Amino acid sequence: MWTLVIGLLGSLSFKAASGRQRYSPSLSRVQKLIVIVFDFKSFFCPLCLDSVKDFCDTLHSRDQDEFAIGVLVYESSDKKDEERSKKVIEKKLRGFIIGNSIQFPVILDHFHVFKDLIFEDTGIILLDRSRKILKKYSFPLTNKQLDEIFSFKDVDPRKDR
Amino acid sequence: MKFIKLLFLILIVGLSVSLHFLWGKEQKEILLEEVLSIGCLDDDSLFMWADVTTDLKGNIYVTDMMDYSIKKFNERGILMKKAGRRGQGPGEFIAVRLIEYFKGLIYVTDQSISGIQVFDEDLNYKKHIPLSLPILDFEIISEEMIAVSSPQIANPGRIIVIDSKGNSNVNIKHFGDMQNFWRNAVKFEIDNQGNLYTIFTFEDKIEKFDRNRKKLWSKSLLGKRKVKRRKTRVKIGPSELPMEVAYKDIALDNSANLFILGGHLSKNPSRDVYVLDKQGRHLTTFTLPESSHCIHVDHRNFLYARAGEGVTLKKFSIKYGKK
Repeated sequence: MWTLVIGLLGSLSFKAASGRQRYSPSLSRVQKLIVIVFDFKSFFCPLCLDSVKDFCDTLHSRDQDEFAIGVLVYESSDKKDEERSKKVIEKKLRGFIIGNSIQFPVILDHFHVFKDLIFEDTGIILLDRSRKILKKYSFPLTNKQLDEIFSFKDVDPRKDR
Repeated sequence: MKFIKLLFLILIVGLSVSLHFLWGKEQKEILLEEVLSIGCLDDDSLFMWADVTTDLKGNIYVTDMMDYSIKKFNERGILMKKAGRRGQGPGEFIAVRLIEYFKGLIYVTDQSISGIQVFDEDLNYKKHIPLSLPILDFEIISEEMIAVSSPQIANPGRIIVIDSKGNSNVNIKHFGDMQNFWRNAVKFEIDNQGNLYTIFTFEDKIEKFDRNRKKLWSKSLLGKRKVKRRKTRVKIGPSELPMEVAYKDIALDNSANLFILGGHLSKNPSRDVYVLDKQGRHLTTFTLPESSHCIHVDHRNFLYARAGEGVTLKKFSIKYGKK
């Protein structure tokens, strides 16, 4: 299940809800993918968002937005009209992206793929092929964890087979 | 001539009596007619608005929690100005919440930032009024008098009045429960005569006090039902916490009729609006088309409420009629 999901995220290039149109780079080219799994409930907790906001700002200041993609996990508020519920969430996501100057694409977990991925709140999945890392992290992050996420090894993809 | 004067007098008395009946007893129906809708699923005007106020020209000011902003719309619903961003500096917000208009100034609170920020009608930041207490509700009485409702643990049951520097000089005591301070959570309105109307957030209680803080009446509209509560395990603080809301908001129309938005205990939760007159008589109840967390009635008797789970603001004309 994990392999399938991560592989799908890593190999696809797609448009997502964001302040700007972005394409996620192919995993084979940049060796690293940072998946930020947002819990929609945390949008209404300003204190919960502080550390997430700091992380996104750091991501941007270190020019690593291109390695990142967000996934928004949510529960439909209207079971009878899930399509409308999805549109409401998409709209609030747009506001969140604008309000927090998010520079990477964020997609809705419409099929609830990430729903049960053992995150109680917003968390991160790091895939780093060059350092052979596949890990998950929960907020707030320690300095050691931040270093681990933001570090990467320069690898010539032609040599790394 | 005398006969004409007598006839005129009888006519006036008869008109007054019939008007009394019309407004006191026969005014039992309110119909809402939607006149404006701001924000929809496909645009970016509102993301999750939290509170609304209006000025005397019909402009609409809104706090939007999702993009940390305050927004000004004209009476046709066109966005005129947006201000604010995430932060804790002047003109910035973390969890922007309440908004009030008073004589050319816009007063704004934030759940995560103490005090009240003040802006002009063009949403330019002007000043900050310091206040260390959390603000549940507030009302601008004058530039030097701001009434604030705060669920305080130390001094329960007060609505305090602060000046523009944040100094507290007057208290209005209405209720005291040291064990469960949340029971003191009230929202309120003050009419032109200085009368105070309070609704309790977690209790089925609506009260009126005169300008000397003497209680004039106390009403219950929900059969004195109690909100669901759960026990807490903390040694310090309340022994139980509420899980439901009795009343969500209060507004006054230009006849000083009270509009009270019901919460979980209402037949139509978060949609039923109870209308009472100045004497506390329950005139009628009407139901909003969609659930709302707040209501606002402007000086021209237009009602504003939420729709679309917070992405839409609707404006209704209030039509009074007989059943």
